[in-house]
Amino acid sequence: MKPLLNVENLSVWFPKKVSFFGKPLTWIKAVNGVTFQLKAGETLGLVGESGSGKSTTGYAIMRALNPREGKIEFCPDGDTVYDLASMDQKELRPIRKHFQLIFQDPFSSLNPRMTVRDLIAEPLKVSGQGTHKEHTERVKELMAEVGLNPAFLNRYPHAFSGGQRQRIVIARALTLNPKLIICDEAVSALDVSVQAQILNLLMELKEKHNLAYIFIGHDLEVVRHIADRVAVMYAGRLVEDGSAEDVLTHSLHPYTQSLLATAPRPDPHFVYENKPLSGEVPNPAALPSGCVFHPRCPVAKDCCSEKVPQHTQLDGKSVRCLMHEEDSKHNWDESFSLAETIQDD
Amino acid sequence: MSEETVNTTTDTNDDQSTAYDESQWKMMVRRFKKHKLAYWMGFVLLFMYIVCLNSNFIAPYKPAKIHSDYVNLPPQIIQFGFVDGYTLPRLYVHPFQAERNTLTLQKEYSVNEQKRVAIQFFTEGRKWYFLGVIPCHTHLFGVEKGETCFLLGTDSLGQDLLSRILYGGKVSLLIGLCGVTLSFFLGITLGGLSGFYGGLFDIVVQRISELLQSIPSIPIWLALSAMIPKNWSSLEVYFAMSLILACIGWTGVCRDVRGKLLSLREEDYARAAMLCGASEIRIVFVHLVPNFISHIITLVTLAVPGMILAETMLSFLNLGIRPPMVSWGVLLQEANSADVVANQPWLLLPGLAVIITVLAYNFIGEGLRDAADPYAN
Repeated sequence: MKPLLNVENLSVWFPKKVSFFGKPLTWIKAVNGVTFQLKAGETLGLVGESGSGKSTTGYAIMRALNPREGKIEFCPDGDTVYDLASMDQKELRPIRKHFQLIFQDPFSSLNPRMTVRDLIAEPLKVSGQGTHKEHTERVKELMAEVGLNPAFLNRYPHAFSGGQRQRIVIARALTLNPKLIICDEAVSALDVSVQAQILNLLMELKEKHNLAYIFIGHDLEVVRHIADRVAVMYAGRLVEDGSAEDVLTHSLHPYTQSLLATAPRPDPHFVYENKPLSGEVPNPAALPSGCVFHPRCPVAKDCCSEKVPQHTQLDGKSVRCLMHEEDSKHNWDESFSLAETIQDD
Repeated sequence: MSEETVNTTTDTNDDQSTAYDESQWKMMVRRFKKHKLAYWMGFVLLFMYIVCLNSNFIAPYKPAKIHSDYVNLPPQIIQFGFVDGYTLPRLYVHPFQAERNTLTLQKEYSVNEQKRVAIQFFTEGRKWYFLGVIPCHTHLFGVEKGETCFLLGTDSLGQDLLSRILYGGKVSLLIGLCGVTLSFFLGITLGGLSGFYGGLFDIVVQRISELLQSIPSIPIWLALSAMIPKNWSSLEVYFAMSLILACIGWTGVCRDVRGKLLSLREEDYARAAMLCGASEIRIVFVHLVPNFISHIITLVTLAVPGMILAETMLSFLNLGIRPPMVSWGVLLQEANSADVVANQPWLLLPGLAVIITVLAYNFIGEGLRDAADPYAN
């Protein structure tokens, strides 16, 4: 069985400085060599700081952006494999029904001039299937499924609250029975109570339709709640990838550990022992040498600025850190383990 | 959980559901009606257009008709009462009588208080063509043959000012629309193409519009108007004028449309449509155009008074519409002296017409702008 999605060595670069003849001179390297796989029905949480390239990765898979290099092998029916990275927009159109995107802001992602019916039926209309009446039936069905009153068919988005709008967006994403839905911070713009409802809805739908999600988010608790697997991104690179429980409780990479240590906890007496990371995500136009995290890493050694870490398989996770690589492990021999100091529970 | 309950309860409150079912257009109309000033100014403007476009029917005289016995008459006051020869009371005016001053030999006018001239409605008069083809003789009002009435007075040639304002309004009000139509046609086409395709075409169009915008508009208008051959007919001059106005007017529209298109293309919903497989044509016409058409309507409304003022200004400088064709600018040009201000102030009435029109357009434009903004409360 082939995986639903196989992303290999995906890079997205944007030209920053362009020469007089339109040739890019310097690049903003937003995503660099991202590799992961996603099985049908699985949820991958993609986490990282702002500017870490997680949304860019999502957009590149959706082909709202053009990747610079790499493969995005998509296999909706377990048989035919499409390389989304090498197809042009026209070729993509017929297979777009298999993968959909949910935007972060439900206020801007719905055309204010269209009724809910037209919004949800748009994918059907665009793909040229069915009659007007069939569309309306399908829209009613979908509205009921996402918890909207089908009587509100002819209302305009302005008549709905944020959570209801996000339901409309979800209904539209479901219209053509996709296999993969990319949720770009799908609940970040909502109230906490509404977030929970939308998350539960997403999980219900996943069970029902065997959907695979790529759930992009920065709220680790939300991701822990919904994701089966978690991939952590830093400065356009995947630094750690593994099952959600593993990555979010027994993380190996110092970046993930700092991220977890500084995540707010719903406990007023909790003492944050670890200092928050100093500095910011590096400028993607001038990435640091070696391991991109080394200028901020609490346990960095000299070798970190020289050698680029590779993916290391460890305890069922894939980690990119020299601390865990066989050749350079000896640098940390004084048996210092950050994991133990911050994860006392 | 409050949201859940809202979703599941079927609220069939009629008032509410109609408000929620409203399309953006209906909402815009409703909001516009709330803007009382703009709403009533709409009627004022409609009235001006109806009156001026039917000047053939409403104006008692031809604009160029010279009454050499009645020069520089002040406006007459319409009164209501009994008139000899009629059983029922009706509207009448006191006629003017001319007398030669024996000392200065100047003609002096005085109101003949004894005589009453009845104003008759739907009288027979000079011939005109209904819709340009059907010959008619009926006019809205007039007086008996042999009598005259100049409700707004006459100018130094004895031409009826009311008739001239009405005929002039036809030219002035329409040249604004013509100029705006032309400039918006140019602006939307060029702006749309350059916003949509971008690249070299975009660069060329934008540089041209910048160039046109960087030259002061009055000298360009003057230069272009001076190029109109002297032997052209009034109609040709008229169209040349609206073309000249449009030549400069399109640049602003072009930039606006381009900017709007570029910003709307980046909206999430345009992207969402692209990602669900919609073609570019569909995105532009189903998603983008409806979202900026209200913006364009507002722009048009706000651009018309500019055009009217430009025409008035050019005609005032003797470079626009030329007599015998009349426009408000021509009328103001004729009233261009200290003598008029001191002795015949009624000749400045065309200026009032310009002010009312421009204000009405501006208020309507403002109302439309407020109404078209979907995110205003």
